[in-house]
Amino acid sequence: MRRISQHLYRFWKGIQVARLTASNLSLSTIRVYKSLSEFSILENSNGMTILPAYSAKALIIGAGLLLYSCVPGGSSASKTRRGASASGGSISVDSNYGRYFDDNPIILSGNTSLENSANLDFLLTGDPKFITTNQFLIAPCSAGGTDIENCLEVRESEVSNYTTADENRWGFSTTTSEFLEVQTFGNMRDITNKFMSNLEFSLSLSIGYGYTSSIPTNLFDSTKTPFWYQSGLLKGYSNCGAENNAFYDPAGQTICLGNVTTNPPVYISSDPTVTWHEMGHAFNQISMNMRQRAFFGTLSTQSALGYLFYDEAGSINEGIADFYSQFMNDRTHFAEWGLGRYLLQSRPMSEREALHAPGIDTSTEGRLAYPSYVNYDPNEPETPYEDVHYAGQIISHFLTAFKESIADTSICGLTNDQAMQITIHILTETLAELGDQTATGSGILTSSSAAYKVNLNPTEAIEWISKNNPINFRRFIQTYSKYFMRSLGNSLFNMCGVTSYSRDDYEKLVDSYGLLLFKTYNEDDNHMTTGHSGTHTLVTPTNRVKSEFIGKDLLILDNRDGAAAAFIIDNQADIKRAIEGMILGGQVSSISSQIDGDFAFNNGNAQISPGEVVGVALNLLNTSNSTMAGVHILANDWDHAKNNAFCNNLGDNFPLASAGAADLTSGEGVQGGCDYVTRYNGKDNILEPDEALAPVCFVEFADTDATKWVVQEKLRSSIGLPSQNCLGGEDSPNDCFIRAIKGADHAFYSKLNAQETWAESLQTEEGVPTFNSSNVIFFEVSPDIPPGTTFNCRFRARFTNCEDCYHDDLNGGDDYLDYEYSGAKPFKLINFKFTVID
Amino acid sequence: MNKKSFFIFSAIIFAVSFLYFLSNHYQSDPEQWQTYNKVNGGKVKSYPTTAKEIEKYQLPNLKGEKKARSPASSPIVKSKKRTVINPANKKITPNMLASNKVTREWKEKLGQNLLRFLRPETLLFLKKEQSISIVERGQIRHAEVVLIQLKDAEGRRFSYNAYVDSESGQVLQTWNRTIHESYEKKPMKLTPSGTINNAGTTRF
Repeated sequence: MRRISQHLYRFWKGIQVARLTASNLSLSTIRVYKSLSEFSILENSNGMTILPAYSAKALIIGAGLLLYSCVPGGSSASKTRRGASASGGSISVDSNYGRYFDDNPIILSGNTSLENSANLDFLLTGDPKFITTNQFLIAPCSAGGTDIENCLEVRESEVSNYTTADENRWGFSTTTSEFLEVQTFGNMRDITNKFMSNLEFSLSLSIGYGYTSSIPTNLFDSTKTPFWYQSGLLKGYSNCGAENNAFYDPAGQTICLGNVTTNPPVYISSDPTVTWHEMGHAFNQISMNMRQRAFFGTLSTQSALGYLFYDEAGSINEGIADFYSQFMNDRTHFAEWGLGRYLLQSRPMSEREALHAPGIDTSTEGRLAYPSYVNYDPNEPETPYEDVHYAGQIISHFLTAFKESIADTSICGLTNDQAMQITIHILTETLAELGDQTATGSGILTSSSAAYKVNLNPTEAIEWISKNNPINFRRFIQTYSKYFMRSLGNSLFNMCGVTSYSRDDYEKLVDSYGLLLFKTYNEDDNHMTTGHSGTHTLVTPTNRVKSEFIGKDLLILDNRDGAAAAFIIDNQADIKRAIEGMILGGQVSSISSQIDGDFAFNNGNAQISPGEVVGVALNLLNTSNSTMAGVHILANDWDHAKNNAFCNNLGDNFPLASAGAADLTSGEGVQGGCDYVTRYNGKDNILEPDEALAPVCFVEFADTDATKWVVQEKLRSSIGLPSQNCLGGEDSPNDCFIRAIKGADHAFYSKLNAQETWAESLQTEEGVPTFNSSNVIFFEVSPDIPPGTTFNCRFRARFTNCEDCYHDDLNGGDDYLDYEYSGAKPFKLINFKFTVID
Repeated sequence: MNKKSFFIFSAIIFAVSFLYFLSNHYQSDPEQWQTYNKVNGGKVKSYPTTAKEIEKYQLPNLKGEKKARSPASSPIVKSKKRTVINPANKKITPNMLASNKVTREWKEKLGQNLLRFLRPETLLFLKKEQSISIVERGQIRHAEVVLIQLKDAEGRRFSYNAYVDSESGQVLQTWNRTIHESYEKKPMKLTPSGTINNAGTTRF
C-alpha cells in the first residue's frame, strides 16, 4: 500500500513538474493549477488558446507518465546539490514552516572569523517561521486592499525546478540548496511585506495630513498596481551562478544572488543583508516610477537612479539600498558575511561603526561628510576609489543619523520603529517626485502642461533626470528636505507629539554631512511660468557651516604651463572594451554605420583622426580653495545656436561677431534669438517653430571674407559630401563629421580637490591617471573629414556644490526653472578646440 | 473496434495533440525570443531561440502585462495593432504622417547593429514585447518595445528594455538596465594615449 502511494505521489509530482516546465518553455502566461480538477484550458496572456481542454489533459497525463520515471525516489523533486538531504534534528519543523536566518551568520554566531566551511546548522535556533502553504516558494503580497497572487517566487536559478517542501515542511540543512531557496524566499517576503506596509503608512499619512504629496492617491489601484510590478512577479534566484556578484535585473524582474568564489564558496543568499540590499534597488525603482505607473499605466519606459558607471544618482541608489538592510535588522552595518569576511567589502552605515578610520565619529565635525568622503572605502581608507558603493555611504550615514535624530527625545522623541517608518516615508516621497515622468512631481496627476513642475515635461523627462538636471546629492537632499518640511518638519502638524522637528535642527544635521547645498526648499518647483511665484523657503544661512558653495567660474580647463586640455583615449583595445561595455550595459546602443566595426582607424596616436571613435576626458582644474564634487560634463545637444549661427552672449564670449556669431538683434525673450531659451528643449515645432537644439561641436570654416565658426552642415555642403554619408545620415547634417555618441555624451567626476584636477585628486601610484567609462565622453569622427579641419566643442559643465549652477540670484536664490537647463545659464561653458589630423 | 485498433487510434490522437502543442509553443513569431551571434566573417546569424538556449542562458519568462484601462485623457491610446504613446498629450490628427515605415527586417537590423562592435562569443537574445507608435514633433514614429538580453564572452549577463525603430532597427531609448554589484574591485580602466593642449599633442 505504501509502495502504491509512493508511486502515485511520484506520478503526481511528475505532473506538477510537467505543468511548470511547460509554463517556463512556453514564454506565455499559463496559470498554475492546484489540481487537475481545476484544469480546464490552457491559455496565454493574450487570451489565445493553446490547446483545448481534453487534449491538454491528455498531454499533461502523458507528460506525467513520461516524467514519472524522472522524478527521484523520495518525497522531493528537487536536487540537493551541496550536501545531504535534510530531515530531523534542529531543523525539524511543523507543516508549512521552516527556518532561515534573519541576519547574517557572522552576527548570529558572534564569530567574526567564521569559516566558509562551517556547517551553519547550529545557527538555526529559535522558533520556526511560517514559509508558505503553497506547494512551491511562491508568495502573494497585498497592500491597500489590492492582492497580488503571485508576487514573489524563488528558485535556485532560472533553469531550476521549483523546490517543493519535504512532506510540507520547509526545514532544510544549511548545507542544501533548498535551504538557500527558503532563506531567500523568507528574506524577500519579509522585506516586501514591510515595504508594502510602509507604503500603506505613507499614503495614509499624506492623505491624513493633507499636504501636497508625491505619492499618487491611486497607489493601490488593482489594475495598474503602481506599488509593485505591473506584471506582478519578482523572482529571486538563490544561487544563480554569478561569481563575486549579485544583481538586480529590472527588465527581467529578477534578483540574482551569486557566490563569493572562496573554496568552498560562500553563497551570497546566506547573508540576508545582501538580499535586502538588492530588494532596495527594486524598491527604489518602484518608488521612482510610481507616479507615471499610476497615471500612464502601460507606459513602457522607466526612470532610473543612475545612468553611468559612476554618477551621484547611482551612489544614492547604493546608499539607500544599504539602508534597506537597516530597515529590516536595525543594524548599521551591511554584509559582514561573505562580502566582509572574504572580500573586505562590508559597509558601515553609521560613524559609530568600528570599521571606520580614526577621526570619523558622530560629532558634527566627525560625520562622513560630502564631498570629503566620496571616495572613501573604510576597508582601505588611504586609497581613493571612485565607486558608487563608497560614495553612497554618505547617504546611508545621513539616513541613519536622521532616523536616530527622530528618535532622539531632545529633537523629536518618536519610537525607533516610527522613526524608521517616517524616514522611509520621506524617501518614498522624494524618489516618487525625482523619477516622475509625468513631470507633475506632486499633487494631482494630469497631462495638463500647467502642472509640469519637474523634469521639464513627459517627453523630455528622462533627458532631464539623466543629464540636464540630474539627480545628484544636492537635488536629492533638497527634495528630501522639502518633503521633510511638508511632513515631520511642518509646525502645524506636530508629528513629534506636542512639537514638530525643528527646521534648525534639521538644517544643522544636513549641514554636518556637507549637504546643505541648496539655498531654498524650492516648494514652488520649476514650472516655466510659475516656478518663481510660489513659496521657496530660505535655508537659514548661518546653519551652513560645513557645506560650501563654489562659483562655477572657478572650474576651468587647466591652463597651467604644460598642462593638458584633455586626455585622449584612442587606442583600439581600450576603445573596443569601452564601447563593448557600454553596449552590453545598454548605456550606448547606436553607433554610426560610418565607423568601422573593428575600430580599424583607431591608431592610438593621441590625436583625433578621421574614422576613429575617440574618448575625450577634459582636464578640468579646480581653481578654488575648496573641494568641488559631482563634476558633470555634458556634450548633448543644447540651445546655443540660432539660425545655424552660434550665440556669443552665453558667458564665454565665443565666437566673435566677426567670426560668425549669431545676430543678437532679435531682442529679449523672442523666439529664435540668443536671449531666448527654448521652453520645450527645441522639440516642439508647433509652439516654437524657430527653436532647435544644436550639437556641441562646430567647425572652423574659411568663408569668402573671413574665417568663421559654422555648423558642420556648411562644411559638408562646401566639400560636396553627400548627406547620407554624414555620421547620423541625411537627417542629421549638423553633426555630420564629429558627433558625441548618445549615452556616452556626458561624463562624471567624483571630486576635484582644491587647486587640482581630477587626475591629480585620484592619482594612482603609476602617476598616469586611469579612467573608467564614466570619466570620458566618446565621439565618432567621420572618415570623410578633410585633415587639418579644426573643430570647437562647447561643453557645459557644473558640479554639485556649485553656487550659481542652481540658484537664480535674480529670483531670491530660487532654483532655476527646468527649461533653463536647455541653455547656458546653469553651466560653466568649456570650449575645447582641436584639429583633426590624418 | 478491437483492442489493437483502439491503441493505434489513441496513439494517433496523442501524437497529433502533442505535435499541435509543440507547434504552438515553438513556432517563430514576433513575441518569441530570437538568438543572434556573429559567425565567420563578421556576419550575424539569427534563429528562433531554442528551448535549450532559453534554459541554458536563463532567459526571463515574463508573464504578459495586464491590460490596463487608460484614463480617457491619457496619452496612451490603443489601436488595433499598436499602442500609441503620446507623452506630451498632443492632438493626434487623422492626417498625421508617419516618419517611418514598419518593416519585417527591423529585428535583423537591430541584431546586426548591436552585435557589430561586440566580440563573436557574445550571444544576443531579443524578444519583442509590444508594438507602439510614438507621437513626436507632430509625426508618428513606429517603434517596437523589445527585451534585450546579452551574454558576454566572460559569461556575464546584461539585460534591458528598448524602444526600437520599426524600420531601421535603431535603438531609440533604453531603460531597466541591470544593476551589477561586481564585488571585485576591477572597474574597466582606460589609459590615455596622450593629451592635447594649445601646443599640440603629447603622446605617453
